[in-house]
Amino acid sequence: MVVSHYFDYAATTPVDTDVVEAMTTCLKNNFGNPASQHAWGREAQAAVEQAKLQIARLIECGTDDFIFTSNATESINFALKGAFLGQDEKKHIISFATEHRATLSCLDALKKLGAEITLLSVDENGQIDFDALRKAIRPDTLLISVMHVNNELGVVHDVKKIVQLADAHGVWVHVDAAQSIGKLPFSVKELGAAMVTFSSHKMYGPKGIGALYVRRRPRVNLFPLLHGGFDSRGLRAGTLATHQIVGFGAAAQAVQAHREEIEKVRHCQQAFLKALSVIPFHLHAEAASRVPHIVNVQIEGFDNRVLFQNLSDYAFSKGSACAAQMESPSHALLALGVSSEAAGQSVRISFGRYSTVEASEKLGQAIVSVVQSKVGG
Amino acid sequence: MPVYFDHNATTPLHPKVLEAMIPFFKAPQNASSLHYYGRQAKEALQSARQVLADAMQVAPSQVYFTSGGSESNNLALKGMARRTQPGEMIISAIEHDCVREAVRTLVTQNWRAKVLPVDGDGVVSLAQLPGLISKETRLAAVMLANNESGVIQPTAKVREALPSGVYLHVDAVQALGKMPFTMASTGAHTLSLSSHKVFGPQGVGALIVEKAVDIGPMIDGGGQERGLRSGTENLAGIVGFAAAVQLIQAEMTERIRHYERLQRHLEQALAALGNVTILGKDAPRLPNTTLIAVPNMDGETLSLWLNDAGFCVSSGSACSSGKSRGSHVVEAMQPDLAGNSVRISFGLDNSVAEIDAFIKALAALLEKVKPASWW
Repeated sequence: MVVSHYFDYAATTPVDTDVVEAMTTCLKNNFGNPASQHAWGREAQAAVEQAKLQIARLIECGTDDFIFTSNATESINFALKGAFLGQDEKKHIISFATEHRATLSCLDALKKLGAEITLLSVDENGQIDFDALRKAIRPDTLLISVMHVNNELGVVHDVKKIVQLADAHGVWVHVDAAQSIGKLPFSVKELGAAMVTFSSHKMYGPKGIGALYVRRRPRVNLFPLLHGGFDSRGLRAGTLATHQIVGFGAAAQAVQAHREEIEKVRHCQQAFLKALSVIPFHLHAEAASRVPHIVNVQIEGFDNRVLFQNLSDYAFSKGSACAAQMESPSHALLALGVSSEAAGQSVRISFGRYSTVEASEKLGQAIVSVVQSKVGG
Repeated sequence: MPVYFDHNATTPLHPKVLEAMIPFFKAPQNASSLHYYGRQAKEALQSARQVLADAMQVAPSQVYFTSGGSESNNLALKGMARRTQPGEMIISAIEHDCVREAVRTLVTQNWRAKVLPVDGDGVVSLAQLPGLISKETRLAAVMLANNESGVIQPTAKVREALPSGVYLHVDAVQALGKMPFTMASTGAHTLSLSSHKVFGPQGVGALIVEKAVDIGPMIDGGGQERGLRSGTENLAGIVGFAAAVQLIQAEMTERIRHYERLQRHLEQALAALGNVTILGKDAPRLPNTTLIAVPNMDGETLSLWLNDAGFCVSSGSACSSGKSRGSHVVEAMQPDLAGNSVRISFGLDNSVAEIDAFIKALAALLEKVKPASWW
């Protein structure tokens, strides 16, 4: 398969060439344990520090303001469980029906530990109702957890506004920015959220490494998820994977060189939708503010499995990769009021660094021709 | 760069492991995706799981990949605790910090911990074990080989002594690749392994779980690793880990012979130096690990001097190095030497010539600081 036929950037991204090179060099020459005191350890530690600087520049925070984890799912678990277990005054958490499964599963687990969860619904365009959010805040509300960009719909939530609302009530906000950091401008400093989750493999870095930004002031007290020989802030145990951190850093660095990428991605999306418009389709969350790199479309009356079967030389998905193995329809689409049947006719197409306008147009045409051949014939 | 004698902290990547990993660095492979790349990833994941399963002589469904040894140990203990009422657990006095800290956390959640002591050679006391067992005992944790002393623990005998229904967790992170064992031979209900101690990449490990054992997840989410460990799999890391384990399987006898030769050479030379104690000398030990202590000589200082002289050694486990306190492992076996230990741990590339140079440097350092009362 050619890389331009890859349209699943929301599931995972190809790794940038500079990143592969940085990781390979690190693996060959720089194997020390960053926690060791000797020369090999210090060299590994220096590589980690360099990567931290690259990441800190990208998201605009201090180099010690985030903790490395093994992926965004761990970051989310750490943020939610850590916040709940790190204090004993507040037990109420607010989140939304369209959140990633990692968040929803964590909230289920927290319920068993005594947390009270309010899961707010969204409108038919996947948008948050701020009045409902305001009303949901209670004196014992600890935290609001919200994704910046929805992984299935591409809907952008106004996280700045949520942080402002939460701040007024002394409530923390955890922003799941796995789909936005590295793809959209994102400043942790400007946002002011208590915690931010992000991931390397959604921004052209390696899998197996993610991070959680944890605000220093006002202080956010977290109970660790992984105990042992701790990092400098005493928050996460385990040997740091130096080459993965180096790859994450190189990926953050590479983002700077690809600032114009978002315009190309926008053109890819337009070319795809234009090619598709020959047949009737519905663009989910059409009226919402959305990112250019994710579209979710329903081909009315047409089972998405037929598309997957007939277009196996393209890669796209029916929604979140985590849920792909399950036969159940996307919870995010259902939350928009989309029927199970319509969800079964929907596909998520996501664009990125190696997408081309031509290939995007071709994908649209390919879908059209499958649909026409099945429906017409 | 200096000579590296700190392989119990982490190991360099084997060139063949890197070769196996490189194809998986670039492609957008999320093992949960249903398309071409996703299927490719899933196949790679399955064959890696099979390699681990073959090495431990278990079914692939018993292998769960994690981000490393610390996570595996946390998952085993907290995961078991998540599925049962709080009770008592028995942990050996020489467990790794991540086991100790996980236990400390459970103690704040109504668990009670009893410590199984070790003898002067660093072997857990089977004689004292029955006295620690009560009706409330739910769990025991004894590592297969200690990371500082290299002393091998009789975990299978521990399992025999435990009543049925009590889970035994075995941290086999340091034992892997340095002694032959299988899941069954250790007696473990849950067993932790790590990649970066066996010339594989950092950031990946595994937990092997006996079939009848029910443990809960620590990380919830998309349900990867059959619900026990959610999160997109670190595919290149997992492939690298499997490649490293495959090399172990092929080279085990050779590797052990290589380590034994180095260890014999080192320890004979140390004996000739006089005032150097080898901890756990008479116990079964990993062939790559020698933990020494020089009475009245601070271990941290000695290891820093040796580092300056061009030899990377450590005064304890890497995770706690840099912290100025004595080793809890040495404290448990030889309390009077707790602040004096220095660990030498060999890898595949070390040579007799490097040991000779090391001995010379050590002798010179000891000569320099020798007080009149020493020898």
